[in-house]
Amino acid sequence: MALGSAYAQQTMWVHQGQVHYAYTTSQLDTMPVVDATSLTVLGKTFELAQVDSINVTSEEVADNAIGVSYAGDKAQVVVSGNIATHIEATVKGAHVAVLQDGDVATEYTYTLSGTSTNGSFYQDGSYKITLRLNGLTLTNPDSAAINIRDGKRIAIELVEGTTTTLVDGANGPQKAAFMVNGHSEFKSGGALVISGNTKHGFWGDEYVELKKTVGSITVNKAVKDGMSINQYLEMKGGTITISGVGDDGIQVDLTDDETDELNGQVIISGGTINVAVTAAAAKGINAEGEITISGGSITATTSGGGTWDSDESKTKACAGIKGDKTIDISGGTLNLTSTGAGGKGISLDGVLTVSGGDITIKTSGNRYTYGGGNSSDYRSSPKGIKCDADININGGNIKVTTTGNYGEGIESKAILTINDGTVEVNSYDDGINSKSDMNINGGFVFVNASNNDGIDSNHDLNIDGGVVVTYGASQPECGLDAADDDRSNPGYVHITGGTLVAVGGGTSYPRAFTGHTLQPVFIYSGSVSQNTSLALNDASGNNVWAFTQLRSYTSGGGWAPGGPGGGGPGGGSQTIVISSPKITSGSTYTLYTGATIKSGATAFHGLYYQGDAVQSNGTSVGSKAATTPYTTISSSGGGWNW
Amino acid sequence: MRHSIILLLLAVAVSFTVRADAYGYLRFVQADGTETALAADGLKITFDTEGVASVTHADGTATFGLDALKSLVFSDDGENVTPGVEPVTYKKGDVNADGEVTSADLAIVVNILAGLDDAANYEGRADVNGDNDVTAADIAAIVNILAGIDGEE
Repeated sequence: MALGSAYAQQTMWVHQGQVHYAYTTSQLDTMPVVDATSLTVLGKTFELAQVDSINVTSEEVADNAIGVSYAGDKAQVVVSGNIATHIEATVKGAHVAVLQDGDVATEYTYTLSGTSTNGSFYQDGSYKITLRLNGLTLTNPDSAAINIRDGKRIAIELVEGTTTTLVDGANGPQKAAFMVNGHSEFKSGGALVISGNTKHGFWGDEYVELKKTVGSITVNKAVKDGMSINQYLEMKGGTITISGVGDDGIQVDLTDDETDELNGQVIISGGTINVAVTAAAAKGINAEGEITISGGSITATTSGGGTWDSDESKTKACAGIKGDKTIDISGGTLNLTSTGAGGKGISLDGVLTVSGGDITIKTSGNRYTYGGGNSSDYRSSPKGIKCDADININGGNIKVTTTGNYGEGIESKAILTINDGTVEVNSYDDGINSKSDMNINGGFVFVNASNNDGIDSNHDLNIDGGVVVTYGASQPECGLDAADDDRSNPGYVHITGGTLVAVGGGTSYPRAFTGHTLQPVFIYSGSVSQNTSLALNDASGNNVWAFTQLRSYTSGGGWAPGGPGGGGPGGGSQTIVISSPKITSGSTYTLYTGATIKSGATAFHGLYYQGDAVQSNGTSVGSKAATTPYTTISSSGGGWNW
Repeated sequence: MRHSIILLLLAVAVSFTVRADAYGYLRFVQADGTETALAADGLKITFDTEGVASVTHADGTATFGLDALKSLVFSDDGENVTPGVEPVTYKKGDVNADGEVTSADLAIVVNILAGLDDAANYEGRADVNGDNDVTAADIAAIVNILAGIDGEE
């Protein structure tokens, strides 16, 4: 109780059943008795037949406040006298409804506390309010536990040190256990736990913001989504934990008004999200608008398989994060795991831009196939990142692992560009795949595709910078693959910069690039055992490029699933593409195998990109002058020249 | 239920504007001009089906017919008003209500300040300067009256 004054406090109470109006006496004028039946206090008329009693105490009450205390099958409501004329409070057992009239022009504070297993709180009004959840435990077996119909800003204060638990009833008409019609702004460090037995756990008809100060929001059960939000979700702090849901963890939908700000968006700059979904085709976070992540931590786990969407006549699958528009990641930490058939880490329809942050994705499910259909509409392959538009990687750290069949690492249905950052992919199927051009201009790129191409462009593959290590599978798969065998829309490998090694059964051979100066490339075909080091030295014996092959290519080769037709020699031989800006066209270089690397030399997945890495050379396999677009320095025992 | 209301107050009492005044009386004003002042703290009113308001207060109980009751008002004036009866007035400084301002009135205020007497015994007359408190200023006021500098009813 706020007893901050040295003077005595005085309150006149008007008790009407379970509603108590508390008037600070110093605010009172003359209170007329009208027609011997009513008493008017500060503009509110009380029918005396409905007044249980009036009494005067020395307690202090605050203005602009409504307090609701639940105790079993009853609730008591206290209304500050200065606002009583604007408030209509109805209580039936432990079900409370409070209506603010339209003349309210001051923010009122509602504080809810206590416990009831058969109660509810309903509020309506047309001015912003603060809703303080002060350790409330409330179950409504018939509908929502809390239903705020007020369409303005609702500041939801989770009182520090308390836990509020809200549960609704099953098979009811409500959208969620906790419903807010207006815009919700969560603050303060308490905890909120929600169980949704009819539909969602939380439903917000307008935007939801989590302030930096907020504690935790947990949805431990929902028949549908954990949190279903219209307009946008903005998270600056706090923790959201979602599990036990029947659909998506967090769903953000567009509103009907296209002019609504940030419509359909998810904006995360801080805080922690932990979401686990199990239903088929469920998403950890699903947004109809843009997704922007600049901070915070997101852990999303999906375990459901795929499903057939009869409305769209196509398969659907799970994803840790799904966006219908663009996704922009500039910071934060993402850990996304999908174990079910067709499951993806990130799936989006619009442009993906990564400029910062740490992204770790693991998928382990196999391809999902519906019925006996053969078109792609009947199949959903697992992917680390699947993007229907361009992918632009300008920074950050991305690690993708796919282990199920047909699992690609990173796929763009358009143009994929890497300008900076670190990308590391271990995949079952293609490591990095683009439907149109792929451009690598900088950064560090590692790919290890166990059953298909390491880097696969379905048009041009342009490498102009960066450090690239890519492993494809044995013949006929490649470390680098462009669409040079596609007569309808051919594309080629163009190497104009960067330090790279590409290892595979075969390779797409570099071509001229109009308007660009090519960088010399050596292509070596031979059998290189795991952990064997290659060294390329200039005529003076200076080491310009060195590589330790960390992958084993066993004998027998064989076709990758879904690979092209035709046969080819196996025997564990590889085609190795070598390039570096330290290689000068026209100069002579010698390639060695079995080199010894200097202690402390800097490598990226076995590629010593800074040069001068060799302690001793090993065995020469040949010397040649470097030319463009490429020079085969040795061709013993296998490899296909596409 | 009172316990739960107190707990509820703990939840409600946040830092909003709170006035700090407390009145000594709740006055029941009747249509004929009668005014009855009852001690406010601890007062309780209930209403029966016969149109009677029953009041329990520090000094006992009282009843009022609602058809005769005009209004309620909080006040520090504890004087009852009976229609047709002139209210008694006292000279300013006449603390002991003997009709005169003398050194005896001065002695009473001194004793109140010394803790040897209670201002409540003098129905507000010890507050000579009307500042709702009994202080040395009231002594000065009586001295001025005795010196012929001030004096009024």
